[in-house]
Amino acid sequence: MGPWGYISAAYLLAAIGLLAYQVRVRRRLKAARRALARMEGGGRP
Amino acid sequence: MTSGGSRLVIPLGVATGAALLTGLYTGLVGAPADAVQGEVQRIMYLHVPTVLSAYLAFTVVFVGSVGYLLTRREGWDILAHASAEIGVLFTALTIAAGAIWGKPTWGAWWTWDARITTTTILLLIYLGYLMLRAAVEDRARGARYAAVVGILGFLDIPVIHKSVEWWRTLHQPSSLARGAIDPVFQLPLMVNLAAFALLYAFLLAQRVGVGRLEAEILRRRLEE
Repeated sequence: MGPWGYISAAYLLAAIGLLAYQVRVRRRLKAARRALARMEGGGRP
Repeated sequence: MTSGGSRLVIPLGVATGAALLTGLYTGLVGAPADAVQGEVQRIMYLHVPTVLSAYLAFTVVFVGSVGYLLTRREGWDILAHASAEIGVLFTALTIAAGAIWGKPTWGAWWTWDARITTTTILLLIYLGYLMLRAAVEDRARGARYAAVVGILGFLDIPVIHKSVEWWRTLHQPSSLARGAIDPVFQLPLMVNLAAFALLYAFLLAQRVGVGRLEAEILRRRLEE
């Protein structure tokens, strides 16, 4: 593998890791907002 | 109702995106290739910012942990927990990028070098921190135990920093701290350091928002 192969691998891995974490945090944020809204709505969906 | 979203998130996201794109351009296109290592040295513009952002994250864990133990205010604990998660991510990325850089330069993905080993210990300490938080059901007790780990774990950072001086290692000494880096490499590195510091702040603002909402949900469930 040439130098750009290693460079691409490093940057791609970082991009995937950071993006996966960002998606996970946004999902948790949405789930928590939904759960709180349900509580405030007296258990209504 | 708390929305868990910070007003900072959107402007931080825009600034982070712009800074990361600038960093990518300066590191991969604008900067010259290294005279000794060639093109592959460009991994430095990822590897160094991720490790310094991890140090920043664990410094915030340390401050949050001390703050929590002194005041028992939940906000400190939420901050420390959020920052630990991001610190673990950045440390894992540092080790991965280092391994990918190590193969063409040292001929090995991994070696029991002092800096690599102490950085891996840092990762394991804060993975333990996160596992401890997940394992202890009593939130206050878990926060107390985690705060102690967060403070003790931070002691590994000066060891990592000094490891290249205390032991014979393959890893090069800290060029930035010694001012031994040419300006043509230093400028793109600084741009990338700023970009990753912004990225850390962007992720932290969101993750703290999640922590606040989840704490509120738990509080309401306990009140029911």
